[in-house]
Amino acid sequence: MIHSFSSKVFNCVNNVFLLLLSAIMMFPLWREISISLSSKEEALRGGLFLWPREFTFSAYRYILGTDYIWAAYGNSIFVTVVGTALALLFTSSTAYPLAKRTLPWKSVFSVIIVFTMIFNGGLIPTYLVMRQLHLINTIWALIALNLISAFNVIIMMNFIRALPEELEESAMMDGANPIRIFFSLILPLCKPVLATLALWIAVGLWNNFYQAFIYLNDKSLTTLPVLLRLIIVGQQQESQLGQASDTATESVIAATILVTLLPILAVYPFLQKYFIKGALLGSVKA
Amino acid sequence: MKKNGTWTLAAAGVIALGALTAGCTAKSGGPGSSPADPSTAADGGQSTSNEKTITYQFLRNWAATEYPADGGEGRIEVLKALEKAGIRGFDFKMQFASGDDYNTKLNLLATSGQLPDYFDIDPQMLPRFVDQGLIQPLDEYLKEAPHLVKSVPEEYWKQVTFNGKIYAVPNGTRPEKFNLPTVNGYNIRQDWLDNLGLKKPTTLDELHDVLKAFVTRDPDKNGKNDTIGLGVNKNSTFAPIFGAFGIQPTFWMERNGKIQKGLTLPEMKQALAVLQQWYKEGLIDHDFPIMEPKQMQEKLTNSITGLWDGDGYYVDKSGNNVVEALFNKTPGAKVAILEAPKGPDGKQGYAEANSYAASPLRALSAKAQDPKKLFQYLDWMANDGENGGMNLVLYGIEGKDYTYDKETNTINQKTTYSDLYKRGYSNPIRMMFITDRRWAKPPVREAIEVVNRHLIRNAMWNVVPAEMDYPDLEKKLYQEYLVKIITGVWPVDKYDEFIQKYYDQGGREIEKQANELYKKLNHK
Repeated sequence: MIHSFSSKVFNCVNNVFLLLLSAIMMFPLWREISISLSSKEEALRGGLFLWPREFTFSAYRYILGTDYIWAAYGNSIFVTVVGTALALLFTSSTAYPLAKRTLPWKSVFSVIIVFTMIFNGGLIPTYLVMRQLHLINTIWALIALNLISAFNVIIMMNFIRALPEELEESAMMDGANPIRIFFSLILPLCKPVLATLALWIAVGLWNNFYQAFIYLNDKSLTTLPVLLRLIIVGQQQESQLGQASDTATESVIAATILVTLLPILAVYPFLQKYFIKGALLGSVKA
Repeated sequence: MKKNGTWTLAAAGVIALGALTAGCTAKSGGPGSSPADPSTAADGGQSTSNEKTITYQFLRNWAATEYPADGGEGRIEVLKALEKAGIRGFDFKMQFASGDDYNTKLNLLATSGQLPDYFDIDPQMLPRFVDQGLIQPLDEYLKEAPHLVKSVPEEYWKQVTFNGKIYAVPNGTRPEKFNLPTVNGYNIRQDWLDNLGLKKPTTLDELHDVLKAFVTRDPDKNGKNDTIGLGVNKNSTFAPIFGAFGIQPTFWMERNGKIQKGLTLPEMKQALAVLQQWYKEGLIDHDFPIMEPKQMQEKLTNSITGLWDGDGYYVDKSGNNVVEALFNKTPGAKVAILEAPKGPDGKQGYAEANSYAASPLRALSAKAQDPKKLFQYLDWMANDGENGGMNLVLYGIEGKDYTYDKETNTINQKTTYSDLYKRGYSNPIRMMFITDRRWAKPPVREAIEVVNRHLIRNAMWNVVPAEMDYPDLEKKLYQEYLVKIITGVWPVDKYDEFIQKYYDQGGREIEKQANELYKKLNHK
């Protein structure tokens, strides 16, 4: 036997512990899945939900049959996709010059950018600025607010600094201008960090509730988190007025939550491979 | 090798500047911008060939998920009916925000000068808006709206009067008795009473005996000792018990010509003693200080609770998701409403509800255009006659969505609320809120009337500024003493300590301001 007995015991205990831990972490999600697949009355009864009770798809059929969920989906997808793409573009174009040692006034720029990490204008000044830019009640408000985060810029900056200078010099000797170098050379090499940032930004935009609530007034611009909030508040409203409706039952809320989660959950595995690939990538060949 | 730094820097600067300018102009006309920009709320809107149509912006604190973005069929029908009634050139656009952040949003809109024309507002925020000149007085416009004025009780107008002028529209009610604002009372499982051969309790002592029976004698006959007596949660106020001694802790009660907060009165200790005793005997749910309202509802549905503070709506199964589940699970269940239990001195009463709580006030922005027309619209909505819009707005099209039985004064709704909202009717567009429960079935109507037979009234609903300065007195300090005394951690006499602390930590100021305001309001 190659493994000693104590090592085997350790593996065993370790595995059990990790299994329990993951079960506990999975449980809230699993509970929502079970509730969403239960009937309306059973969902209300509460208690421990290990399996769906009175298995039915009626909650999903209801929520997917409404048109407001598709409108909210559309808005959320637009914000996330366009927002992430633009954010990556802006963040990397900010980080690349800052990563070069020869940039004039580099320290000034760095200080200004780090300054925004510590101090924020506050809600009302930001709102007034957005109003001057005529961005209130447009979907671009959400995108504009999350374009550049100082933290992300610093991460990218450090990553680009780690890339060898010889690469750029060799490209420049071949006649490439800085824009060409940026798009064809630097960005592809930054895939791991871009993937990481993309994931963070995308999740942030997808889950963005507060900004969507404050800046978007029109009903046609609701995003998924705002919609979810509406439904849950609607449930409280109804119990005050004694007028029940179908939207706000527990099972429908659970179904809406899952429908909201699904896209992000689906995207994660695809971006995972970039993390791993990036770590093994070496570009300077001797 | 020195790169051509200066040239690159200059070129980059020019590009950046160009992109910025281009970006700015492109964003204001971006694909996501809405057709009606609310930042121009004061503008006139579209003008048709003959007359100028004013589109009023409404903001409601309501979660209206199904409401269509353009107002749907409801808006078209309402506008048609308005034309018939002689109100021309009127259009509206609904916007919604809901939940606790509504006030944040309202404040933001106010700060940036973008308040909608007519919007919901909390009674606590109203004084501030009046001071800052954000809303205008309504007295002259109310002259255009006789139906509206008639439907709102006199006391409510007092609450929204500042410096002699009215600044907001409270809720109205229809004249029928079942439209009174208070609907909360003690609900009891009638089938459990029948199972145990008990009558409905009318006094605190009888209530105590019934609760004891609920806890010990297995009223749901399932062989298990799993039932609890009084179901409460961490937000419960035990109002009916305090009512049995003639007071409510958070209400202003009149004593010797002045008013005092209920929680400073000696009757509190009597009520607390009763509650402490009941808790000791296990008649009150032991976990109540940490229980969320949702958990309490679950206990209801699972037939664990026998007595609880609920709405009159609970007696009928269609009133509420919770009751629906209860009746589905336990088909033989019967819920009845109790008359307020009598205390040892013969006093009784449920806490009077402030109609405020059901729906906020409505205020008119100082920059609103043509408020006269707006109030004509609101009056039309308050009119339930032939020429009025009340039934159309609330219930939809007669015959298709509902039928009105004149004899029993009942509205039978054929369409569900979800469908009504989807088509643009009912609660989302209810800018004039008049409590109308003609849709309620007879058991519910009777329950509501029972609740309203004995009420403990609040001498003054207005909030004084000092209460905003010391919010924790009621929310934290009182709650702490309440819970600790009821659960027996502290003796009842320790409550005197609370009264002392209350006065020292700001209660005196609150009482002084309240009495000044009370004198002013009642010497008119």
